[in-house]
Amino acid sequence: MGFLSPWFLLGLLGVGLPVWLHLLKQHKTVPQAFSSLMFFEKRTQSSVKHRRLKHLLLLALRLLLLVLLALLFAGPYILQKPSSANSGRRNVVIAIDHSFSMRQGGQLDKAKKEAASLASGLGSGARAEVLAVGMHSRAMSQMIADPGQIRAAIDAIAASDERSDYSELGRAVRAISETERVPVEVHFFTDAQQTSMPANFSDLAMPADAKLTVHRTRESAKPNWTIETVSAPGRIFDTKKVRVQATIAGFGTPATKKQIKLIAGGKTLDSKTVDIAADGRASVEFVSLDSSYGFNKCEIRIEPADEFPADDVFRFAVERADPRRVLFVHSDLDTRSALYYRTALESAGSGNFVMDVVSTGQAGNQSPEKFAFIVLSDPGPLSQGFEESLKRYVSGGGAVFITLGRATVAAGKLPLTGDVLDGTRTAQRSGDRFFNITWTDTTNPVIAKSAGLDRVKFFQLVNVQGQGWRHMARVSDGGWVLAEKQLGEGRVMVLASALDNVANDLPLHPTFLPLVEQSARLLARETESATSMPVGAPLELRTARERATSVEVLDPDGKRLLSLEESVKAQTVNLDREGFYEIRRAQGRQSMVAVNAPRSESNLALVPQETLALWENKGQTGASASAQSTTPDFEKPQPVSYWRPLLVLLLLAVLAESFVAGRHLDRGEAQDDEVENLQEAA
Amino acid sequence: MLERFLIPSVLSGLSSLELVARTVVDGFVSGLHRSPDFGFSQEFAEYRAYTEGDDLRHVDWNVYARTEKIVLKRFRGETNSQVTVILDASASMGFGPSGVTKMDYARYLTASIVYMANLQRDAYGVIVFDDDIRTYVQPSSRQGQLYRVLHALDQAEPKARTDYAKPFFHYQQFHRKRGITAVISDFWESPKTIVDTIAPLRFRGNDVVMFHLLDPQEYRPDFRDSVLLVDSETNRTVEVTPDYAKHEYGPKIDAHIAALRSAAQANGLDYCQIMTDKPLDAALREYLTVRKGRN
Repeated sequence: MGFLSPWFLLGLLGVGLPVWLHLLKQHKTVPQAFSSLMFFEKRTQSSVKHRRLKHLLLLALRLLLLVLLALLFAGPYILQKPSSANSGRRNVVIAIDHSFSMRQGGQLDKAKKEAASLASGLGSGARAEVLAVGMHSRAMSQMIADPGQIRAAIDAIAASDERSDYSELGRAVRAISETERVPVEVHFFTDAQQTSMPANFSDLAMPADAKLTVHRTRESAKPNWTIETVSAPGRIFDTKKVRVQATIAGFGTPATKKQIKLIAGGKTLDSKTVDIAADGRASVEFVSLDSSYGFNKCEIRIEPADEFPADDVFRFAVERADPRRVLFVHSDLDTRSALYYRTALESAGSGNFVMDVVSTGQAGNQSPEKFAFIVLSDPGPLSQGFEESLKRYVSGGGAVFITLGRATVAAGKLPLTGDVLDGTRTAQRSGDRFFNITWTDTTNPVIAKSAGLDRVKFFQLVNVQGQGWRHMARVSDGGWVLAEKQLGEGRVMVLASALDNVANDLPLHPTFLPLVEQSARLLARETESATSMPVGAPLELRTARERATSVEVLDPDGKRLLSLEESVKAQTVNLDREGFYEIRRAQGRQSMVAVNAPRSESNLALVPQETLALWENKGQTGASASAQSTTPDFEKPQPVSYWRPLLVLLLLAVLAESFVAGRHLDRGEAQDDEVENLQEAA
Repeated sequence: MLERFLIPSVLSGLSSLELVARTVVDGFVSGLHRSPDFGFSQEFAEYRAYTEGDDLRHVDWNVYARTEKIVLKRFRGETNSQVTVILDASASMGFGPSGVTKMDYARYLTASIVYMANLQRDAYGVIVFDDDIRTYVQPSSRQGQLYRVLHALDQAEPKARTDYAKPFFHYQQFHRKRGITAVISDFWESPKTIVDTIAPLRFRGNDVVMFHLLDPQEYRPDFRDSVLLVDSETNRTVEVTPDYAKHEYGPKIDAHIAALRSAAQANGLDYCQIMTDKPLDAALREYLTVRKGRN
């Protein structure tokens, strides 16, 4: 038995305090004057007897309290050998790496076979727990002794598309050691891939009572080529204007020529041959993607396949669609804005949008629902029917971009929102000759990509009076020039000036192009979606605004990946298999994402033997190694702290002391009452 | 309500003994008006036919006016008594852990008695003694007597030991006129000695009232732990256990009181035991009973 903090035992000196209180303090005799001692007789109560320890029980409890308190602080422990129930048994953890790289050359089957062989030789009484180690560790069984169940657990391990992380094994073994509280032997079957090692070697640390043995399934590194990255647009409108770039990487490979194929919907569209340097990279570009309308499952493939064909293909998803229509409504006074806006829209995008231009008077015939978004360029007063249909369109999720000029100011109010337009403010020759943008909301995607807005000169701005506008850009006099507002499910964006190159010179600036492009993307809800993701990466299912909507995810087999509850509540989902996933969101919006195995698994370089030896704790000096071999950590007695039972005892002693002291006080009060009664009787 | 003026702890708040006496007696008398048994002052007694030599000042001229008969009006107050209060001022009388010491109580009682005697035109005096006569105010009904007595009471402080023999012997030497003698003491002496000392007063035709003052703590001491007691007169110390004080002391003091009462009655002395936490009315009733018996 020992103490973690033996200095606290000095607190035992405190037991003298209650002794002093009970023995000495209580019996200090003070002479009292009395009128006459005529009837008092001396009673022999010797000083020893007089000073006897009164309230022995109370004293004992108080002494016990102090002793327990001092012991508790001192932290007593005893060295205890591992429990006899498990000390005679072998407790084995069989861990099998089932990462993507284990698919190469039947490594996983080899590992499972070796693990099964080990399990067969465990002998009676031994217990084993089976782990599948990839990006996470999965327990395939409990710590069990049944050889049949152990073999079944080993057989149940399937190849995954995950990357492997050896630090997960250390974490899992530490958890097992905490739970079982027995020494364990860890047998890890892996291809010993270098990329699986964590950045920090200490993450691999095993508990003191664990003994690790790494069984390598691959003896030497294999050369391997892989499609490392693919760059392709997520949505295409003109198949002749598509650029698809791919990077081919070789790991431990000689210089060679490889044929790279572009395949869409199972049909080879194009094929190119590239020279790949030894242990290097090469890129290839395809300039067209003749795909069909809708979502296309495309892939870049290396021909012929190498020894690890699973990573010779890279999947990506592309949606082919018609250009979306944009309605441009202008007043009869404004004839030039449409020209500037159309030019910018057509120049910026890759044919995403087609613009229909109508005057305000003709706009009543248009149905807003047919358009990706609508531009009202200084429209003036709108017809009531068109404005109502616009409101329904916006509240249902549509978007409108409004520019303001003389015609709209004359109408006195902003279309859709009804905010008051309080005239215009014009730069004067006597003062500032023009307004500049002095503040921008750089978090807004429209502003973030539109550099050079501060060089635009605004000569006339419209004053909009209203609340709830999110300002995107403000000019030098503090008023805003570009702002947006949420209306129902949709949004309204307003430029407090016109696009006619009269009220400002914005259309002539280069920044006009990205401004139109980004605002068009935002208004048309064309966010850039990833065409491919690595296995294990989280896919965002919904934004904060879409909490109540349902999202369905179909896995590569066409089965629903989410339960009903998850489809309504889950914010993200982890895609843990290679293949194409379909995501179906609210309002008929669909997308497709391709998932590829992490390319770090393609590098089949091995962990150096010295590193593995160090991990297995065999890289120690001879003396310490021999010391460990004679007395392994898990056979040494372990300190077991006894603070919990001491704490319980302390609590019980406190309760008992309170009870006894309470009784003592009650007795004193009862004596007082008795005296009072006697006096009254007298 | 008036009874509260008889409570010792209330009276201890009054600074003047005269005020104490007046408060007590006025309050006491107000309480007595309902009682037919007690009376005092110049109460009408009877009419008597005038005979030569009678003092004409006592003729009731109203009766003469109506009946043309000369009659004398007689009052009970004419039968004046001499009241002497013998007050023990030994050190033991200073005991009073309950608040009011026995000495204070004795002062209040003496002041009340002499105040009543003053109202009744009685001659009154006071003797303060411990082991000898310390102060003697000769009985008198003259003007200013009350203040002489009250001054003597003010000066009386408890000290020295009690010795009944010497003071009473002296008192008997120069005490000739019969009257009422009130002895106020805690009587920490054997009953026989006390009665033997006081009884000769009775033989001379005096009415003697013994007021035995006891503090509640003297009657039933309450000690939670063993204590070392010091005798206030002899400085003798005794270690007393709570058990003794609770179980053995009580019977002894009871026996002492019973013996004192019995011896007093046997010698024709009136005995009144008073606890200092009780109002003064019991003592005053005892006094009036004796006073009435003398008329």
